[in-house]
Amino acid sequence: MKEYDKNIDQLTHDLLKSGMETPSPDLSARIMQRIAQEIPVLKKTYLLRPVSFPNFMHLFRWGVAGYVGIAVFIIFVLLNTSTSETMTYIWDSYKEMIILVLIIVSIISSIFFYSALDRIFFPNRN
Amino acid sequence: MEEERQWIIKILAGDTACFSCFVTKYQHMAYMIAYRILENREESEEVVQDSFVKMYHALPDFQFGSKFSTWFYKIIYHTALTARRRQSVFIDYKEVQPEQVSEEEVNSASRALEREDRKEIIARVLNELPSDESLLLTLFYLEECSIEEIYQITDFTVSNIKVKLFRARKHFYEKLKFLMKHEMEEIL
Repeated sequence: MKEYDKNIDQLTHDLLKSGMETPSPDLSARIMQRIAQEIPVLKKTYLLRPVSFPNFMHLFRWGVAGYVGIAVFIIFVLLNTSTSETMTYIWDSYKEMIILVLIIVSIISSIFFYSALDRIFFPNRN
Repeated sequence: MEEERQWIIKILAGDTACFSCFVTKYQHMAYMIAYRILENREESEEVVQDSFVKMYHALPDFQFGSKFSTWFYKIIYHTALTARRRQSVFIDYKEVQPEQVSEEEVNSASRALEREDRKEIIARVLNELPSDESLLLTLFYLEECSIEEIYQITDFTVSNIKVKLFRARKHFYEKLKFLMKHEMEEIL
C-alpha cells in the first residue's frame, strides 16, 4: 500500500507539473518596474542594549513609589506657597480629587512612556 | 534559505536590483497559487505583482522564523483571496461522483496523455476542481510543501488539509478519467 501511495504521489506530481500554468513572459519585468517605483526599504537599526541598562518597564515598576512621592511633594509645596484666598478656596474644595488625578495621570503617562521606550529600543524582547 | 538571506541583506543595503532574484525564483509558483484561486490570467498576474510589492515592503520585518517560501506564499494566498472577494463572476464547479480508481487505470490514463494536448487536459481538470482542492494539490505535489507548511500558508486546519488533499487527489483522477473517457475506452 505504501508503494502504491508513493507511485500515485509521483504520478500526481508529474501530471501536475505537465499541466503547470505559466505567466506572461513580461511578468517579471512588470514586477521589477513596480518595485523600482517603490520607496527603497531600509534595514531597521536597533540600538544595542547596554549591558547594565535595565528594561524600562522595570524602571517604571520601581518608580511608582517615587511618582507618588513626587505628587505628594508637589501638593505639599502648593499648600505652603499658595497665598491667594481664591487658590486656598479651590484647594480646600477639590484637594482630594486633585491629588487622585495627579497620581493617576502620572502613573498612566509613565506606563505609556516606558512601554513605548521598550518597544523602540528592545523590539525583539518577549 | 542562506541565499535568500544574502539577497535580503543586499536589498536592505540598497541594492534593489537584487530583488530580481526573488522574482526569478518565485514568480512561477506565485502565479500558480494565484491562478488556482482566481482562475483568471490577468487578475492572477495583478495579484502576483501586488504580492511581490507587499513582500518587498515586509522584507525588513522577516526574521526567518519560517521558510521564506512559506511566508511569501501566505502573502500571495491572502492577497488572492482578497482579490477573489472582489470578483464579480463566480465559477460553478461540477461535482463528480466518487468512484474507485485503480492504479492500473491511473497508469493507463498517464500513458494516454503523452500527447501535445496533455497540458491542456491537465489544466482543464484543475480548473474544474474547487479552487481550494486545486491549490492544495499544487502546494503539496508541485511545491512539495509539508502539511505543516500548508497550514501556515492557508487558513485550513491540519486535519482539514489532510481530508481535502485526499479528496482533491481522488477528484483529480476521477475528473481526469472522465475527460479521457473516449481515449481510454480501448485501453480499459
